[in-house]
Amino acid sequence: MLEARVGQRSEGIEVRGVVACVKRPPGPRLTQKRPHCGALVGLHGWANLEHLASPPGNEAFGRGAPSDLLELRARLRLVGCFAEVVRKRQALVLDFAADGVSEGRDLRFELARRGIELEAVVADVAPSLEPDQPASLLTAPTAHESDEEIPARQAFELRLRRLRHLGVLRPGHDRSQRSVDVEEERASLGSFAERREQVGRHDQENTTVPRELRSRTVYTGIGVAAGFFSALFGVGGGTIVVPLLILLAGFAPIDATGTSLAAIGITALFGMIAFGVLGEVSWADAVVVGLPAMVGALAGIWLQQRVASRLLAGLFSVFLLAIAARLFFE
Amino acid sequence: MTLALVILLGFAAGVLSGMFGVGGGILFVPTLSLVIGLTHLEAQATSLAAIIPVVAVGAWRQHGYGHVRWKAALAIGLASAIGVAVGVVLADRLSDETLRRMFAGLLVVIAARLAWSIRPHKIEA
Repeated sequence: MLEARVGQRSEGIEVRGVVACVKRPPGPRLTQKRPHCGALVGLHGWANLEHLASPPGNEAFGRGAPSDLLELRARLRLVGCFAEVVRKRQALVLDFAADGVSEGRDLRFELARRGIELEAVVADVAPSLEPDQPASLLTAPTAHESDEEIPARQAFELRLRRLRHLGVLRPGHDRSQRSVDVEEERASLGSFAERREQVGRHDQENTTVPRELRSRTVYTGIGVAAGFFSALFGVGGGTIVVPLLILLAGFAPIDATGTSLAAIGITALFGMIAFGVLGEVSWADAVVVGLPAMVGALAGIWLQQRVASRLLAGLFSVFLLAIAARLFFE
Repeated sequence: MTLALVILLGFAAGVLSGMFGVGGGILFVPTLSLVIGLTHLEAQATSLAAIIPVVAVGAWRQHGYGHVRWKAALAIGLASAIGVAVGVVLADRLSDETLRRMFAGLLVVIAARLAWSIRPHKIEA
């Protein structure tokens, strides 16, 4: 077993870069104390060794023969490595240049995307490795300390255990993202009887306040607030009715606008009566302003669909600010 | 002359309220107080009266589009009587200057909202 280091020469092969270990797409390793599925090295002059590789399609691991250019058990850290990913036979050959920085992360991502995990830094290279002697290649894959012997049918359980650290799946979680802790799940759902009880509780919570009554309360609240606002400022109150209808009563914006207009009519009527009783309403002025405005409103609605109004709205808001300043400092 | 200006301003207020969904009162009050010279309280009271025809037009149009939920509107409108009563009493007690400044604050808020609403191409009332 050798540690593959950059620049290291091992039996005529220069390990030019770091070595990556390829696992088969995430899944449990099964039986037979296999090594990781493929080992990859960036080797200087690897083309010279190509004839050493087993023919494609060879069931390499069954025979314990290397399936690729070089069968290495590689563990490496990928920090600060530049990598070029090349497909070579059935394995990936990674050609690293160790002087690159920070691209290592990209490589890791690229590999993860393909369902390949990268591991540590050491490479197993047969000590007598020679370009011209196929036999000197590692003949049997060696086991690694982290390999476990698992009967094939336990694979599912193994997967659960492996994923456990990611967190426990509860009802409602996406199973593809979390492992399932069956006990947890069962507990939280309860037995069937408990579940029924929970359903009942749920219903109860939702029906204690009848929908009709609830919305009437909401309308009353909105109405009182709107009336107060309207009378205090002398405006319709749409400024607060529309958002309140959307937020509290769940109205669509367009419905909120329409409904608020009708409501404002009634509010303004009350306001007019109340102020009229106090003798504050100047009726003639109301007519002089209100009737042209009515015509103007029709024109405005007509214009709204025909004029690019964004600039106008911007100017209008500036205009409003100017009036505000004028009123404030008068 | 003033009459013509007021009519024009009323028309403009209607146009703007129709276009931007901003209540006409926002413009009526300054028109009435700054141009005609009513006190701010009078301007507010008169504005409420002037709003009625404008809002009636708007509600009628929206009713045509099926956007008015009359039950809700009626509930809100009737409940507003309570708020109106309180608001009128309060407005009557507050000084004109306070009312004016509060109204100026409201204008700033509405201007900000209008400016915000044109950002994503959508206008709120």
